[in-house]
Amino acid sequence: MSNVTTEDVQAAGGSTVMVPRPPAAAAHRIGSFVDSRLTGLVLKRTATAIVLLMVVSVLSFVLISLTPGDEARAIVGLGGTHEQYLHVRAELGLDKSPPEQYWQWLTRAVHGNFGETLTTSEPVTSSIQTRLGVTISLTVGSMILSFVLGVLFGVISAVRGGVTGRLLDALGVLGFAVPSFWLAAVLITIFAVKLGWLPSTGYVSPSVSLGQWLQSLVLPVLALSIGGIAAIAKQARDGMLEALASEHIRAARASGVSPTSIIFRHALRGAALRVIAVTGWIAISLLGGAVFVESVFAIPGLGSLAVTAATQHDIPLIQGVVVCFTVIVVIVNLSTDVLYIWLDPRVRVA
Amino acid sequence: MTSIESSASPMMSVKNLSVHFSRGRRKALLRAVDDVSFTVENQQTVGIVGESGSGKTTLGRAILGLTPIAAGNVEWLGEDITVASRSRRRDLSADLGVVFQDPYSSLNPTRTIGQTLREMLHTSSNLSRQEMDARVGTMLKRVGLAADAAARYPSNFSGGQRQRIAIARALVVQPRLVICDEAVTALDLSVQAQVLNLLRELQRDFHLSYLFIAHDLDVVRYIADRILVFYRGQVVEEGPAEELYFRPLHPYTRALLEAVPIPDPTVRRATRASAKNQEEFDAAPVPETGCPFAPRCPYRTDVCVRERPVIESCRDGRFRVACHHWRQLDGAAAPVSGVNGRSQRW
Amino acid sequence: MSIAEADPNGIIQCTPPKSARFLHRLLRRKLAVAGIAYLLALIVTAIVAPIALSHIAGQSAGSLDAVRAQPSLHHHLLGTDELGRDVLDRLFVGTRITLVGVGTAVLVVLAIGVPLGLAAGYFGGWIDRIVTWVSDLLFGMPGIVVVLLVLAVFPYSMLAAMTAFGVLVSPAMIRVVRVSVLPIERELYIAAARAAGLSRPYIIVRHVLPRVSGAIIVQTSVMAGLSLIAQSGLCFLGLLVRSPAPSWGGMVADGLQLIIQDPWLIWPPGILIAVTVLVLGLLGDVSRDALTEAWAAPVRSRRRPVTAAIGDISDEADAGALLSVRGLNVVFQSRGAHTRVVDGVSFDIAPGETLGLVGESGCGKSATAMSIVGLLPGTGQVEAGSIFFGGRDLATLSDRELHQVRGRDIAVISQEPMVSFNPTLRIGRQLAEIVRRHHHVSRAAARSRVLDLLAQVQLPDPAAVAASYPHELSGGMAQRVAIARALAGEPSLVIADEPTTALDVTVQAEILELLRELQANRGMAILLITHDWGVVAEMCQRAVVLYAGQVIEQGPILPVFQEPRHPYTKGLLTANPHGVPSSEALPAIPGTVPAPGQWPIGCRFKDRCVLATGECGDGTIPLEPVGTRREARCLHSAMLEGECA
Repeated sequence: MSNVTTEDVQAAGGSTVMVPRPPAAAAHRIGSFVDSRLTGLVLKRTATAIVLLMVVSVLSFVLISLTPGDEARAIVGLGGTHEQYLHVRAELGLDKSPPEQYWQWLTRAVHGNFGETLTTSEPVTSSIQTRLGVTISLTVGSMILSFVLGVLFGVISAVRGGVTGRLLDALGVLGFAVPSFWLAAVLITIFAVKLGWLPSTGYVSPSVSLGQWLQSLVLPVLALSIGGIAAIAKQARDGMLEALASEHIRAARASGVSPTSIIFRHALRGAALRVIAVTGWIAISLLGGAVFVESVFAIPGLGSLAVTAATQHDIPLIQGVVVCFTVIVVIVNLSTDVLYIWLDPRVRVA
Repeated sequence: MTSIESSASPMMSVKNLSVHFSRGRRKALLRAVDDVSFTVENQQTVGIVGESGSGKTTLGRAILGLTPIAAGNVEWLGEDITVASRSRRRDLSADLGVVFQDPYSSLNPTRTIGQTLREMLHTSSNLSRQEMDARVGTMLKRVGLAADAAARYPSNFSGGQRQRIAIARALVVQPRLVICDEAVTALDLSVQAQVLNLLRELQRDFHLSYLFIAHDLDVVRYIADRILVFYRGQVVEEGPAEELYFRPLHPYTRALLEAVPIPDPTVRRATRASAKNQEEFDAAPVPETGCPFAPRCPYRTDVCVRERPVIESCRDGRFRVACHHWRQLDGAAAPVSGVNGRSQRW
Repeated sequence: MSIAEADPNGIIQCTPPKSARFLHRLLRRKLAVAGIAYLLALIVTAIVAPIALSHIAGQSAGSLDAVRAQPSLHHHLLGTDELGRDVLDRLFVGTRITLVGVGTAVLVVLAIGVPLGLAAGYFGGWIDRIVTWVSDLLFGMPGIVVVLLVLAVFPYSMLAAMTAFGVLVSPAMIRVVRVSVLPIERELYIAAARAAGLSRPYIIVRHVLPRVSGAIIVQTSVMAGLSLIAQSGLCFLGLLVRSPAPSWGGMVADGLQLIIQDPWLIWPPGILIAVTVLVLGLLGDVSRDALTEAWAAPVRSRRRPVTAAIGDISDEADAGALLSVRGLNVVFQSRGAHTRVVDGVSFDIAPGETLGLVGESGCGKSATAMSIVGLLPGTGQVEAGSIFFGGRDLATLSDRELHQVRGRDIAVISQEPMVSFNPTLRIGRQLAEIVRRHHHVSRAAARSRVLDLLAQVQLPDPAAVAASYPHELSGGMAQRVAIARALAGEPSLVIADEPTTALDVTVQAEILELLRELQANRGMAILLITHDWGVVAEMCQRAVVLYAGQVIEQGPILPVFQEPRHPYTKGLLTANPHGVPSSEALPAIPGTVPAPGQWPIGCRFKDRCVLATGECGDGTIPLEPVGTRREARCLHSAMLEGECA
């Protein structure tokens, strides 16, 4: 008896297709990539992002309403007249009910208007814009360095083992324990004060001088990256070790695949997945670390702006910064999710 | 021990039981258990045999209330237990025990043996701590372990020993029926023999019934009084163990028996008449109409593809089979597809 | 042979019960003691210092108190800062703020993370979805910046800031707990508990929670470290503590101001922070170990000396054999103990022959097979012996040299076909790589060879399979592909390690038939490792029976089955329910196999053997010839002569 075919069934008067189907031949790579799973993910992430932004903004509004003290009074001061006080209140929108205030903020925010800082009366958006690029360059630089060195150290310590491995392990542990702001201070001590190779503070825009721009970023990026390097190295190392011990690597070795090929083509893929999975988290923590590093090195980025805003209780400004950071984080998360799905076919097929 | 009830009213009666799993919006429902009915009498062992995907494990879990039921019910001593509340389940656990397959995951590794066994006693009786300890000690000795095993953790024991502990856990509450879900599958042959002997002895001593779920026909034939053969959620055959093993009716049962390797090198396997690449058929969804085995069956005809066979009683009521052609297949002169080497030796 | 006698070996192999008290176990570890002492010192300092050194908190610039301060007990051990304030004293006083902040954050993380993670992992369904969604939401917030927002609204409020921080990092705990709970929820003892009618809260608290406690402890220590760094960072920025009150982070900031004049000042607080984070992490790891130690699998220590292996067959390799193993010893290392698992095993495989390596679990059959190609897992290695193949002793080859042999001359098929393939690559690509490795052909030629191979293993649609990923295949298909992979190099020997154990019986029958056909066509030898005597009967020409690391019987298949000459072989064959009427008890072998490292002196089967006499325990039992190409390791094998199984 041969395999049942549709013709047999139909000849037999049957109605159902019973052809045993081998597993669905996967469509062209792009085609299967852009499938419902991916679009579903993008939609989900976007929806989450919107909710996130709303939650953050509502949160800050709730917090503000709990603030002791009166903003308008603080601005006008004790010497101001009652009309001035009412005028400022109206300007700040404090005479409306909280939901109305929120709605007003929201509608403006959607149009890119986050109000003005309390201290300088500059539009919040422009304050952010000028500084956004700085923080981005700092964070991206740290991301790259963390990746490169982290993967390098992690893979080496996994493959080599022995003294090198343990040494790298120890460095990794230290990298977690050392606070970035303190490390920044140490780096300044060594490289700026003692050796004088690099500037201790300050930032030079690339449009002014590329060389000096790079110089001003070296120490900050280094300080910021240590935590990232440690985290990525650990993931890369764990991923490599896990892959090297896995059954399919053993089977590949048994089939005669060369050791170099094993490491680079097979084990590394598995390790890469683990690293990608943690990239989003690393990026977020780097953004957080940027706050401290920028303060230490007096870099005019979003991080130091946030600190200034917090110190001066400048609510509109810090709200704007928070929203900006959130948007960045959302984009990063979305990209890493997409990348992960693209790399791991198990996740792709629903 | 309770009195032996008349065989007129079975201890457990499964009626038209169905369990469905959804596989997503666009796929058809998976009928893991599809309109299954059978009974278990007092002090009887009913064996359930099937391969992966047959639904036998789901059946066991459904009876224990671990999986929601789509249709049908299970009656225990006349009471419908599919609608039992959680507190009723607690009381029931004194009557219905279970021994699972994997001796390594069926015991909580963070609790001592004593704690695990006492926990069972807590739920079903009001004994004092000393009484519980006494019972636990007795039970452990009965299954062949030292009484001080109660103070140890599962990691101190081998697979076979853990399975004995699992049996002790099931029996410490003195149940009436024990569901053995692949209880000996993961054990080595020599350990399996010990555990099977233990199960039989305990059945005699405690007047137990077993619902023995397994995929190894040799084991099931040995331990069970009656066997049900499952295929893709449906009962395809039921009959007395010995007779079913040596004179199967249903083509699937025959295929199963043909496929089992026999530990006897003088028997050389004749080429099987059944199709190759069986499991591709199993990967496809069960056909909506007709016999589920039809795609693989060497004897199928168009009625097989059109209509789902009804379970009929045959061989003077000893058997039930779901096949359109059982009459032709029964008592065919030579084994049509060669059930090799299986002659009754006693 | 009924089982009414208590199992004599039942408890002997167990290690003595560990101390049930967690604290005792913890305190036995030196590192834990050091860490706990350190933390206790911190806590005491936190309580005492602000009281004892109450003048410190108020010391600010220009305060005459500082100038007129009594000399401190430690004579300014760490120096003074720019205002003359003593550094060590300030560190002491700043401890309280630090601990309060860390404590707040950790409490919040535990209070949110553990219950939500448990619920999501255990209940699944919509609860899991909501918790995951909330967790993703929190995770998506830029942590520090939100805390800054909170501080903008509630200036200098440690409570508000660290609570907010705790809430924002709790997703990490939720994830860890959830991921740990998920596999547990499927474990059978949970099913048993549910079947017993135990309530869900009870099951979660008493069954699930202890299992995940290790992960929770580790993650808590990580979170504590993280909180410490965050808190000191906020102090550094001057947002948490009003100066001149001292704080560790604030002191770093002070030191930074003076970096040019006095670079030393940043070091004491920085080192203190780093050390505390390290100690917290360390304590977490050590506590997790101590907690799980009680119920984790114990290390089997060697209690008796392992008898030396004697070369049983003449030590020269059989010239006509394809593979000759002589006196193979394989050891595994674990925590300093050497455990031998294969003891003096010798056998031959002729070209084109199928040899069955039979035994139960723990007999060493897999280790024997894997050592042939140098693929012992983990810490295993060949301690002694020779493996003659193709004129060379494989046991002496380095990994590089062995790599030439693997796949090309000797191929391996393992038990679980699905996991033996790289899950991220398509089948066709993985097979093509192997083909090109062994035959230097172009990509196109490799591709057509792959399709050819897949057709040879009777897959109906080779192209579709080649385009699939491993997880898309069923078990039987995956095994066929694994066979195809093994054939790619055209080996003369295939090692099949329990190739059908994980498959359904009807699929098993097909795979075995396939192997037989392929062998007949290609003339390759098969070393078949199995525990199933039916498979041995169907496939093999000769059988080698292993028990406790030794060969105890070997010979052609028919005599071994019909007239076994070792009580163990005979016991196994008769214990099979296949031939036993249900009215009889199964003739079971009493007792259990001695574990590696606990092999008795003399015959390792003697404690379970009906034929055993005193001399069976005297010394190593040699493997003696008992017929044409037959051997048995038993002093009483003559008694079994003529008895049919």
